[in-house]
Amino acid sequence: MKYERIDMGSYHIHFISTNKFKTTTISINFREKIKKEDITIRRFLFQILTNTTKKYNTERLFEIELENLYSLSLYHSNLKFGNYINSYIDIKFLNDKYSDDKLLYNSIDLLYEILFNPNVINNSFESNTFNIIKNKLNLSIKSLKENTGKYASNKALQTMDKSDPISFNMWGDKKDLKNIDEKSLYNYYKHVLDTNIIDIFVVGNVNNDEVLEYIKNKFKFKERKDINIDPFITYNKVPKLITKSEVMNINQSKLVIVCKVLNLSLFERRYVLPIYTSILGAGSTSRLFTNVREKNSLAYSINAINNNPNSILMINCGIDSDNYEKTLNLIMNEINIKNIDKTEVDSARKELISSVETLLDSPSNIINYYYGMEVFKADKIDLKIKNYNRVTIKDIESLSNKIKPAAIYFLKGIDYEEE
Amino acid sequence: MKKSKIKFYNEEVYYEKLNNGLEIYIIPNNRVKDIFVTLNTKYGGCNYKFKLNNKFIGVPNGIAHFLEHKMFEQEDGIDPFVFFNESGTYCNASTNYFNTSYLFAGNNNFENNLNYLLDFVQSPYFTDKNVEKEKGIIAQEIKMYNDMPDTILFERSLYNIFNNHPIKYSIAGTIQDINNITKEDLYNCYNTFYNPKNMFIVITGNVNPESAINIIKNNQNNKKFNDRNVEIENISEPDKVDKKYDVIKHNVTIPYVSYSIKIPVYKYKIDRKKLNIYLSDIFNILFDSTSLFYENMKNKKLLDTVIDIDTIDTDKHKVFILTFKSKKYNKVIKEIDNVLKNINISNNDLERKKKVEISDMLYIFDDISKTNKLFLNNKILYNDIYLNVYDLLNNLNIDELHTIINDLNLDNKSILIIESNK
Repeated sequence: MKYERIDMGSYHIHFISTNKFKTTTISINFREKIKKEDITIRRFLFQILTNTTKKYNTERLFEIELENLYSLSLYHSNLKFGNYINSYIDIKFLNDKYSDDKLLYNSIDLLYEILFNPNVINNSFESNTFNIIKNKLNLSIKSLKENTGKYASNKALQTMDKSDPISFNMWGDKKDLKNIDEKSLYNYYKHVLDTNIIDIFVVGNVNNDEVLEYIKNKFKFKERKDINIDPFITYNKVPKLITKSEVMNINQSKLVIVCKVLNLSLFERRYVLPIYTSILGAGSTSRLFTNVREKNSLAYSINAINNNPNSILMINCGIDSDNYEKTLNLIMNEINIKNIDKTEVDSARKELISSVETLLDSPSNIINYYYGMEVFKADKIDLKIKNYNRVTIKDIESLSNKIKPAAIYFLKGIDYEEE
Repeated sequence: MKKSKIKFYNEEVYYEKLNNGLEIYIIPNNRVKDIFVTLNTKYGGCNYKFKLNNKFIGVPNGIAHFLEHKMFEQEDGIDPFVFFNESGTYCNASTNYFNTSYLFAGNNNFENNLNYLLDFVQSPYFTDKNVEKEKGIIAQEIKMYNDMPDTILFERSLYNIFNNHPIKYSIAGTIQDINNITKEDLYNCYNTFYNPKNMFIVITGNVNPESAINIIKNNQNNKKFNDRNVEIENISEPDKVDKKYDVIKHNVTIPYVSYSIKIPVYKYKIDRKKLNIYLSDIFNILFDSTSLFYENMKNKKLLDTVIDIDTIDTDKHKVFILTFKSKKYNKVIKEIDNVLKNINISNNDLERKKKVEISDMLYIFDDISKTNKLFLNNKILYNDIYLNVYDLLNNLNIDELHTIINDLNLDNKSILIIESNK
């Protein structure tokens, strides 16, 4: 596997040459400082861009084209990490050997149509498609409540400081959606294309020089200013614990606990926190799983996840509302891990190292790995493994003291029998 | 060990059947580092009556899933999750309607892990105490699923479509079902369905087939199993659906609807997989995001998102479950009726879908977990791994499709609506 990064002035292009796959993946990433008011319009934009283009101006024609391109797989998403919002469009298509010798360039042409020839008339997105997507988004925002797990964790995070990106709701906001029109969406499209930091990844077995030349001649991005922001969010104050609850007509109650991790060093953020999270609640041998599920039969699903760039550790579980106090006490007693055993550290370490060792097994993980180096100056695989091996029990104990509960959110279900 | 090639896809399959009946399928991919292993029993949520000591016995619904949970109890007190975790290996299990699968995935300690997978699944340890303990956990799992509208829609649709077939009931059972499960029930099911004769292993990823087969052989040579054949009670399932129309209430913001069609397939004389592909192509062409139907529905403001097309197979029937969300669902239902009354499919459409089917297999072979699932599902559903899949797909043709459409019986349908409980 060979890696090459080329600075094209207005964007960077990364080639990861490998013959591991029967497919080629191209991913284009746009990132900028996250702003709460942009989240809904950004979600709208990437949805409409990947729904129709000027050339394929209905969803039907667009989808038929994907099938004609040997079932080209198109995927997009918007993610927040730290102070950034990142939006990407990935295309994945078959190698020439299994299709035809034009597929590579036909697929790049489709990506070009998506980015540079959107379904726009007179500097406004075409109304019919615009309205279809608007309805779709409206429905999606409303139906978040139907996914009680996601709804609860979203609400828990929204209790954090209003200016803290972790509190921003990535599903979007109904009011913001209402205010978006065809023209403002087009203006936002221009803003993203003309100002965002752009990284393009090409993973597969292609002639890099030819692809570079082709993209260079086709994809004309304006020159842009460098954006220099610290991607990481660091907390240094002990938060005041917020407790909130809501009642819903559902079978299972959801309990979410959000913790802030104070003053994380880079080493802690990258290596100690993942090990800590794993011991606390990342798998079927974790402390929360053992104590809440196996010993007390209180939950089926209980886990801890961390969001390193945002310095957040979060615990989610589904329980009976009657068991709220008991479960909460059990969890609160575990959050600041004590009496750390060497074997649990070694298991967590091995699990994380194993996932680093197999990072290069899938195109999407390969892209995440190199993009991590681009955005966060993340370490290379060898150094990642070395550093995981350096984490000591003392490091974990010291991190334990930095974990501070910031919010308890309880989505209380009313049992149907009670009605 | 038999080695076969999968034409066009440049993949190989290694096969071995051990003396005790256990079958092994290995599809190596040495371009990646990981190995993905599933140990499967052909026993899942479909709770058939089965023969034990010359008598058919019945057990509570949800038992296969309960058994899956309880296989992780070991007499020596070692938790299989802990064992796999020690080498950084991922481990899990799942229960479907027709199979239960135990899996591990990782890139080290392969020999020990493979031995351990066989050992823990082949050494049940159920006690009254550990059975009781699991009831609270599974009750929470059931409650979690009972809050998911998509799951409710799917399970309730099956309940309404089928009359006697046990696929009617949810895999996990109800809370009442699982409260009735005893240690004895679990042993009865285990001793019947977890016999190597009823099981198979699928290994995908960076593996040496010969050495993997030897590890399994040596492991199995040291164990004794009862020479027992699985015998399940025959079920007579009519073509008619149990309930044609049903409305329930739940926590939804917009009505969820399923339009299910139960197609008798036992009358067709062609290969079942081939038939399934043709039928799926028909429904995809008629209703997916490339269909005129969906375009019309959006233009008429009846649908905002595309219809989901789910399918489920039993020996005699194939069911298509079309699900969607719409406030004006009666109009959508009428439109679906109209499309199905006059099925019109062009050669262009079929050729395009053929291209998609052939290509999608290549995407699958790039991913060892998806490859594993493909072989597992083929084995469960068709008892065949389809080495000739390329020819099968490539030979699909419009004449054969039209014959299938002419014989298609779409009379048996069932509608389910989930309305808001507010």
